[in-house]
Amino acid sequence: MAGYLIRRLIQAIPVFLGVTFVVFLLLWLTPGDPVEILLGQTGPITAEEIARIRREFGLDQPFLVQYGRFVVRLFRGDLGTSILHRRPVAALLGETLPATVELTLFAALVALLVGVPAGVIAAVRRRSLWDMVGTVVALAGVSLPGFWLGLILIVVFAVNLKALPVAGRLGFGTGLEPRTGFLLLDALLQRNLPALQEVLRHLIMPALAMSTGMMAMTMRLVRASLLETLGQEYVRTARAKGLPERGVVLRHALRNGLLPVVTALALNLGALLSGNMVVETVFAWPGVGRLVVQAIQTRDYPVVQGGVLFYALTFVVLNLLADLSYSFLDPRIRHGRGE
Amino acid sequence: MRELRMFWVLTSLLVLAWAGLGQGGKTLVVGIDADALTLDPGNFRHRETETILRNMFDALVTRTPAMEIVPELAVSWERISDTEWIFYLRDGVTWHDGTPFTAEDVVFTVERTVKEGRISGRTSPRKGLLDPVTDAVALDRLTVKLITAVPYPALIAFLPHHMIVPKHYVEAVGDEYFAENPIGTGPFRFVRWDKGVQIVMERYENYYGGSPAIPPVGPARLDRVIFRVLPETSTRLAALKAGEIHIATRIPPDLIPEIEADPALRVMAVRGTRSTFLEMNVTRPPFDDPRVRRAVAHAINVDLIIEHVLGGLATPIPSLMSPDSPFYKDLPRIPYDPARARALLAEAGYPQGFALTLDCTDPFKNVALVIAEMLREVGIDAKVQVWEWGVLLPRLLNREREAWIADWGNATLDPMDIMIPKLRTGERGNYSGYSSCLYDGLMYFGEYIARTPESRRAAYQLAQELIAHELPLVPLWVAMEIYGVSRRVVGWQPSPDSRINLHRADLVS
Repeated sequence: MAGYLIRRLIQAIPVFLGVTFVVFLLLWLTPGDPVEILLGQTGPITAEEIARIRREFGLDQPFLVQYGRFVVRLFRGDLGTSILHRRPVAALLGETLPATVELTLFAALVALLVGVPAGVIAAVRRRSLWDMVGTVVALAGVSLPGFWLGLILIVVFAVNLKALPVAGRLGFGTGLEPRTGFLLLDALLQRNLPALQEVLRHLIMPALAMSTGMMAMTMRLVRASLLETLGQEYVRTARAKGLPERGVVLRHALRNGLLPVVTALALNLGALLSGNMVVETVFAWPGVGRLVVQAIQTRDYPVVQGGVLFYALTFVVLNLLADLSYSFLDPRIRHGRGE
Repeated sequence: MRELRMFWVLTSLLVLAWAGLGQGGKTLVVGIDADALTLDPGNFRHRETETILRNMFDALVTRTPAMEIVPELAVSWERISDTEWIFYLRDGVTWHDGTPFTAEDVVFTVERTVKEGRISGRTSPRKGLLDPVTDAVALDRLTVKLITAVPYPALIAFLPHHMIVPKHYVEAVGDEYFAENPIGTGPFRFVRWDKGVQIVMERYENYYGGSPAIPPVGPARLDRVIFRVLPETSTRLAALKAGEIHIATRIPPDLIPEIEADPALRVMAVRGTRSTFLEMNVTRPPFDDPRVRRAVAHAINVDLIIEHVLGGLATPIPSLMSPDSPFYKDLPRIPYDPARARALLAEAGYPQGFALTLDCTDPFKNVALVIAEMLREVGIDAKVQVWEWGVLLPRLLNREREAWIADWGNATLDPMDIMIPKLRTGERGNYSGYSSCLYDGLMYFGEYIARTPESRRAAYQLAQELIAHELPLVPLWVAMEIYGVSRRVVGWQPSPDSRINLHRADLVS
């Protein structure tokens, strides 16, 4: 098991190098000069000043030298310095990462809490009104753009009903001291219930806007997979033994039916983590997505690199977790592989 | 199904609408479109950062909402020679930790800005905004001398943007700590910065009162000020309507009706400092011919665009400078005259007109579409191409494009800031490739030779006339900047340089 893990992690190194090289190349090919954008239009700027800043950030070097320096620094654990913020990229990522991870996990939780039960109902009551309503809602959930849904949620719940805050992560005056950066955790650790409430109130709308796609997919997957397992012989056996239907569905069919859902979940989680730039912008959520969007607009190469590296890492780790969970959920795979 | 029931209980718990937390005292919240990059006044070049920091820091001089320069931390100043300025500082000013403010702080700030490697080993990106200044010397506790390498008459116009930082504090805590936990001499002191979310500050009770030229003088009236970061315009507007923020920045003209429809809100607009132009590549046909450029100017009905596309919220300009600048020359504008435009085109050898791609960035798309239609009226077959600025800019600098709509900021309202970078030969903002010995000479005269403000003004006004005649660009307008403001806000008005100074603002219920 440990050997398998180590081998998989070593295999990830070329993936990282490949990803960063492609991104480096793409940024190199994209027109636009970070220094020009940084200096903006205020005041007279001399050519010497532009040259000085380019030198300071190594932008005057040829492509391969820049990339080489990046890789060398990377192996030393240094992601470079942001041209716009003038601070280490690692620090910027460290500040924004908890916000993104918290929102993503919360959104995934919402998606599962709704998607799995809805899928079970749709499968058990196949072709009923519930099933049809679920199908239509799922279709809508996959098709609705997060941007639009986010704004609609804001207008309904924040502007008209005034039930939830419009945007942001935490208001002022809760007395919460962010330590881990995961505000839910911070509020719990500090036993600050009003703050916990505030954090949850801020989480609901962005999480909903983010989760609809995953929710719908989970529901359809659970439904399809459960329908298949419900037709299996061991299910018929269970029923024949006279087990109550609830036990048959939840204990025998659902556990087996969840296997494909887990893989989909892992991949979806990666997509959620890396694809929430729009939702983070609409809800003024201080996460990695917003940081990277700003970095792309200002050609802040080191920050874009760091962000992409984070996304790549996410996918590698989640894929690995999915593979590992297979052997955990399905003893046959564990024994068959012999690792 | 126990799990299902659990799920519903959980969901209802989540969806339950909780009451918001009360906030003590009078707190004004500004919804701003970008977070500060740093809280160190010496280490950025970013409009929003300056807007936020200016409430915690003061400078030697400041501007009134009418853009007049008045004393702030300096009481008065004099220019004792071409390259030496003396500033007499205000007595009794304290930093937020109680330490008195002295000439040493000014010297420290200037050196930190203009000398290399002074901020965590790097050079301040603001160096270029103060560049001709080479040294600062404290003559006594409250007198400081600034020395420039060359005569620099525009110095005063740049000083409102250079906030003074505390020498004792920065030296004690270091640049990095200072950038996240600043103290200043301004009306509000720093409380906390939740990055990407908000910057909170509260009233500094021992504030010296601010510039005597902008009454009322005294501590701030608000207990607390929060700058909340809301990058998306629709979200900013929603927060304003929900009563979560009191001032929303950067409202596009098409959202004005939505604000006006809400009785609790009002629209406040101020003429900004960005001049908008239709620029042309004058290094090659067809725009190397001044008659063609004049034809384009005659073809554009600027008043019609301002009225119908910009909601009336812009002021037409005859040349580069804003009417708010003391250097503005009030020249006759080129009248809308399509017949004259067609005649000029025929005269220049284009009786059938020509095909043209008009470039712009997204904010100018509507304007560009209308202008293209107007150009088609006189026979120029124009189509519009919308670009991302970072992609368009290198193509402009390489003179690959024909004509485009763009603007240029001039927060100091001094010509040095716009007339030189935009049109002097070889400058970085001179995308049109214009080059005129006369113009360059006038710029040189205004910058280095003119001894009096009058002769300086005369040089720059003559240069404006030259541009209005040669038209390397067609001047369009200076647009208004629009804010959505709660009716509870009193004592605040938007400023042309987009600063949001809340020292004198208050909230009424």
